[in-house]
Amino acid sequence: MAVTTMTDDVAVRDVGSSPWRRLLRVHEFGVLVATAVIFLYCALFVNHFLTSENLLSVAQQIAFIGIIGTGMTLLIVAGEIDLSVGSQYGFLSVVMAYTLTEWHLPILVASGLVLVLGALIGLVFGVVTTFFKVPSFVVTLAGLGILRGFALLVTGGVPMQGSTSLRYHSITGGNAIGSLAAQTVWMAVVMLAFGWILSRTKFGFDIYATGGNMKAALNAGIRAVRVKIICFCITGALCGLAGILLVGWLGSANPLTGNGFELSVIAAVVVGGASLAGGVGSITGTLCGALVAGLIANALVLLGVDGNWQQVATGALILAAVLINRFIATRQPSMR
Amino acid sequence: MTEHSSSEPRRGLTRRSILGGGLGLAAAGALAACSSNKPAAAGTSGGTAATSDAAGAAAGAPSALQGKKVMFVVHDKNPFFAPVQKGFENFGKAMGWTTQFMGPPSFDQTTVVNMMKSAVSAKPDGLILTRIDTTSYDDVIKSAIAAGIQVILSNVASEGYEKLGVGFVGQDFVPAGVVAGQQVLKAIAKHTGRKDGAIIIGKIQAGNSALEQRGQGIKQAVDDYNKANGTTFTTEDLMVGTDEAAAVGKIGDRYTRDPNSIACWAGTAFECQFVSTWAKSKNLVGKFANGGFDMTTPVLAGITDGSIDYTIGQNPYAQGWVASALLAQQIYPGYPSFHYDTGAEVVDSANVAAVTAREAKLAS
Repeated sequence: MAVTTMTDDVAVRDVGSSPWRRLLRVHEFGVLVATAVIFLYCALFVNHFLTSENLLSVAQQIAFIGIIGTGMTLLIVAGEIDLSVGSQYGFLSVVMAYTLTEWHLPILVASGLVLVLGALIGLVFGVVTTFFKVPSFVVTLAGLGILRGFALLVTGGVPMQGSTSLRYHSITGGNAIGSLAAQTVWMAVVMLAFGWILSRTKFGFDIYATGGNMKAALNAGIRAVRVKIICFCITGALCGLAGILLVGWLGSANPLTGNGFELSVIAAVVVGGASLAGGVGSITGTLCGALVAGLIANALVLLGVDGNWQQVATGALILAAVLINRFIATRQPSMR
Repeated sequence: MTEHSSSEPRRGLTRRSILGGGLGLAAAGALAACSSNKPAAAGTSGGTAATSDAAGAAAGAPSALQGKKVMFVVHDKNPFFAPVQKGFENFGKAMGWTTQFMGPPSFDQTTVVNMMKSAVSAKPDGLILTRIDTTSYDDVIKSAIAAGIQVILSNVASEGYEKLGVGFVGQDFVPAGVVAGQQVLKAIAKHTGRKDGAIIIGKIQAGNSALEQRGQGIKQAVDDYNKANGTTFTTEDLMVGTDEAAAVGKIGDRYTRDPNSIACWAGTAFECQFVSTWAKSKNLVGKFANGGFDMTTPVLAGITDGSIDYTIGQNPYAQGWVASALLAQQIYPGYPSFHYDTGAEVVDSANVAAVTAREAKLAS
């Protein structure tokens, strides 16, 4: 199914037609429309929304969802899932703070260690999932508990101080250009890089093929098991990157960091059009999914919506966005 | 790939437009229904966002204070904050303010920071925040102050908050923990007369400096008591969380491990209500002491029925009302705020009826 989707997209790209018709055929068109509808509503009806300061703030707020969502997109397209990303993010944040304050490691060394540790955690999940044939949601559900427990053990349950280095704070949590937050730039770099890899490289096509039909992928000579393990490793490393950015930005790591975060990440990826069955999804879609979540959360606060109603409204609006996306996706074949 | 005539895409697009527009309008309607910008409905709902009936309620407020927008962001919107919210909204109503109270349903550092950032973007006149660690929220607080928003901390401020130049309304946690520790020892003497045993210090949340400091105060009181009286009480921490079913399970597991070792369950928040539920279900009430903090309805009910010995109140209503009042004088005429200790009120069987009657007024 996914291979078909990918092939269709390539084929569509080759067909000469107007830019508008080509846009209609883009897989992410539905979520783009949903994002645009929400954005337009906010721009027209929400005070203080359409200011550069607020929009840059929203961009900053979705940075961690975007970074970790990138890894999750690769995994979901490859036909797997990682329910432990929130705990990984929390654990690796704590490790970052610990190595800086207890081991007094230089920031670069500590960062490298955290990235490698994240990739190793992903490697373990990948190996257990693929070699022992245990569903990834089970493996990573176990990982969710284990890693949260380790985060609490390392910190003794209390927040841990990070580094006071101004340079570290500036690179990870300061403003890159004007009011543009560094985290936003990090997210853009990560999403651009992996967006290119997923859509333009052989490895990217291998991911789609693996998630679409693993047997067919294996028959076609694709090393599907390796592809999946690499996706787990990338996701782990990106959780590490998010942890490094968080500690630099906030100056501390809380053992409950990322509590429930996996749901936000998976929601962004799925709202972005990815299929949990594998083989379908894109980084652009995930960015739009994260934007939908970020815009809704921001607008609800700006609108003065009751705190309890915010939960209801967030869920309802995400469902509405998915319905728009799904409706348009099902109508797309008729336009080809 | 199926080919279609050129008219079909147009039809599809029309339907899409209709659906998109319909959902957009539905979303707009839903948001408008939830919004606080409708004075009467929101003001009488008891909900989180409320605009007061400015003409009547704020008649006595100085005109410079009327019509202000004030927001309150907490780190974890659990039942403890209900009276805090009430105090905040009642003060806002008296002043003719638009008030908005919010917090995530469960604690996550990044979510809280993001919520605070959105609150700053909303450009309120005043902002009341909880600061549950020593660094994570400082950038947001500084950016709010830089944007000309008056800021005050409530409920928990953590070490070093003074350097931010903001006031704090809340409990002094270590001394309050010492008061709790003294109640623990009194309750143990009443129930068991033991000279040894474990005092289980319950926690509903990791990473919260207020709970840690209360636990520290309890340990300090127990150590002092041991030294003065030759007793050998020990303390140990138990993380139970806020989910009652899971908490009851963990409490039961700890009891099963060594039933005779436990002299008292001493919570740092409202864990004693979970112990009460568990002890009643196992017919173990009175076998050990049980107490904690906060004055939630189940905790007061537990003191009334004897399954809880004491609780330490911190006047949550004041954490909403007084924080708002201090914020008001920051806004006009411009006095700086200060630390207001909301105290450590001991509630036990002797005064629970009066306290319950008082707290019931907040429910109306």
